[in-house]
Amino acid sequence: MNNFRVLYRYECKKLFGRKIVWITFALCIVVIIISLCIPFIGSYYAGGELIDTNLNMYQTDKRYSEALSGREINQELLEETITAYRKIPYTNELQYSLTEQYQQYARPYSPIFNFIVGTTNMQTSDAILSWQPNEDDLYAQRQTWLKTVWEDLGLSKGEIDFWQKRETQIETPFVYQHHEAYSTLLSHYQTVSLLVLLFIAICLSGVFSEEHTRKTDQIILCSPLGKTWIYWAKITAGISFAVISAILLSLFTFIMTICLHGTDGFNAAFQLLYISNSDPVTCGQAILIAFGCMVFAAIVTSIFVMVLSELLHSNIATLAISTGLFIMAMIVVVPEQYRLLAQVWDWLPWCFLAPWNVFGKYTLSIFGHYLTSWQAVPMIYFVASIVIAAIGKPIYQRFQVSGR
Amino acid sequence: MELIIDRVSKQYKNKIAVDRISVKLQRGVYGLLGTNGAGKTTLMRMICGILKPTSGTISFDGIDVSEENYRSVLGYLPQDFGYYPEFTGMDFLLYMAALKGMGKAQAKRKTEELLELVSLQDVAKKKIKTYSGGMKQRLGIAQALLNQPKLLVLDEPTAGLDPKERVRFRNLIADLGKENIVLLSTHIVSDIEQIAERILMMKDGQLIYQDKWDDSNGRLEDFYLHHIDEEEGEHE
Repeated sequence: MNNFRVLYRYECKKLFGRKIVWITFALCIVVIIISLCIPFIGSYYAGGELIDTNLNMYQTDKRYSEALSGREINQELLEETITAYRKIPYTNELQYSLTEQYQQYARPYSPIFNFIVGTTNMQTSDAILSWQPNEDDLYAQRQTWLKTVWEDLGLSKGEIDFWQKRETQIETPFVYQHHEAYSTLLSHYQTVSLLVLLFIAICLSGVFSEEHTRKTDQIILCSPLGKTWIYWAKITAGISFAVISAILLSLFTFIMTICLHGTDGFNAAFQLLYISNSDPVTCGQAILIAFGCMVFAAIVTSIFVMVLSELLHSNIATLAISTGLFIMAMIVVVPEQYRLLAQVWDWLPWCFLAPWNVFGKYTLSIFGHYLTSWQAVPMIYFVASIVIAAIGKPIYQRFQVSGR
Repeated sequence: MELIIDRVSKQYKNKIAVDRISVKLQRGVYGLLGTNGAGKTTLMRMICGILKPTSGTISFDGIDVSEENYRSVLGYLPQDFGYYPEFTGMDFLLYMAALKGMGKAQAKRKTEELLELVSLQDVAKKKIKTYSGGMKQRLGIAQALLNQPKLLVLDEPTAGLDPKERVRFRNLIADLGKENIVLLSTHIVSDIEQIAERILMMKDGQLIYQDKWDDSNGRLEDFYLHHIDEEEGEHE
């Protein structure tokens, strides 16, 4: 066991000693910085006319949003919002958000207005002209809309009951809180996840194959521990690498986001951020759950990539297949009517890491108990990791040094 | 101490690389001679357990080649093998020692001892990518000796060594051969002539000569060249 620790340390040294690791890591950091900072850069134009800089727009919206923080989205706030929006003269010639009335009366209520529109699915002008603000009606409309969503997804009666039960655990009326940091983290979640998985694929695609191309496999395989412990040392080092990468890139994203947007909104209901969600969690908890799922996906991906590299004996082929899978995940959407296939596809590590999958409606039923995606998938990944690693071991042990 | 190679063959699709070789090796230095493609490296790989024979068995003191205990007594220097460029010489040997199941203290002591033996103590903390070809070869020799192997298999060990180093290495092998089984292959007949007590000569996957060589047999080089010529003649 002592030797396992030494071997593990050297396997980590091999991994972290590669230049490509640090170059790719630096590139990932640059991509994160750019994607987080881009909303502040440049100016907002409408009809070819400069309206304001993006930074000023952000600061104004932030001020309004902070002014609403702590208020319940109740009858009073709904009426204030709709009254303010009714002051806008809606015309075909002018975009409503460019009117003076919008800027003066309606814009301070835009977060609440967006929540209403998102909940009721009404078109902007229709909403203003026909909807009578009513707190009960708003939350009832949300329930009706959720039922339609669940049915459209082909959820079973048991699943619908499960989600309805979770809905009862959500406290309404929602209390509005400024939550820009969590909104940003959620909207960048898929980008950061993809970066993490790509980073892992690039850096781990050579863990086993490079021993063959470098011809170090001969002295490893004829050593007493070269067919057993070294395999697990490599796998463990790869897992550590994946976990550290996921945590570091996530932490960097958190810190950058907090520096830009602050920490307000940790305790806000997640439904302010993701209206159709039925998990009784706060924005902060939801973000931690999402990034936690990323760590599990990173682990299973790392093992998959390493075993693939042993199977193919080639970094390039391993990287090509892994990248191909990531791209396929972005392109291919399995229609909801093929429920099982759609669920399996959505839960694959390279597809799963998107808010609509992590907080998706598909569940896993175990002995009558339903588990949400974010509860079931990490467990599945854990089991899959063990299975893939176990499959890889005989592949590694059976390797024959020949033909050089 | 006995290495038994019993009717070992290795066949690739339509080529027999090693053809029913049977030989018993006991304490001493064995020189394996043969032209390129004669099957030397294939045989050595099978002896080291990194290539499975198509048929036949290999065992050391009754321990089968596939067992971990067999690998514990084995030291192997492949003909052409790689290093970890970012590792220092010291790191590389400590890593290999861990792979060979050695404890920390023993590994450190043995590593320092071997670095001195192969005259790499001054560059022990430099990265391997800065080493010359000869230095890398010496590091390879050191890793093969780490676990004080009872069975030492050396494929072209003198390649890349300068004349002075070759002489030192020959003496080292001779010393090791007193207590252990050393099997070495080389193209340099003079090396074999000076170190090896017994000669194993391979041709087309078969062992065509296995015995002691002394001056009464004539010059080994002449004998070897005669067989190569025969082979080339056959090919023509």
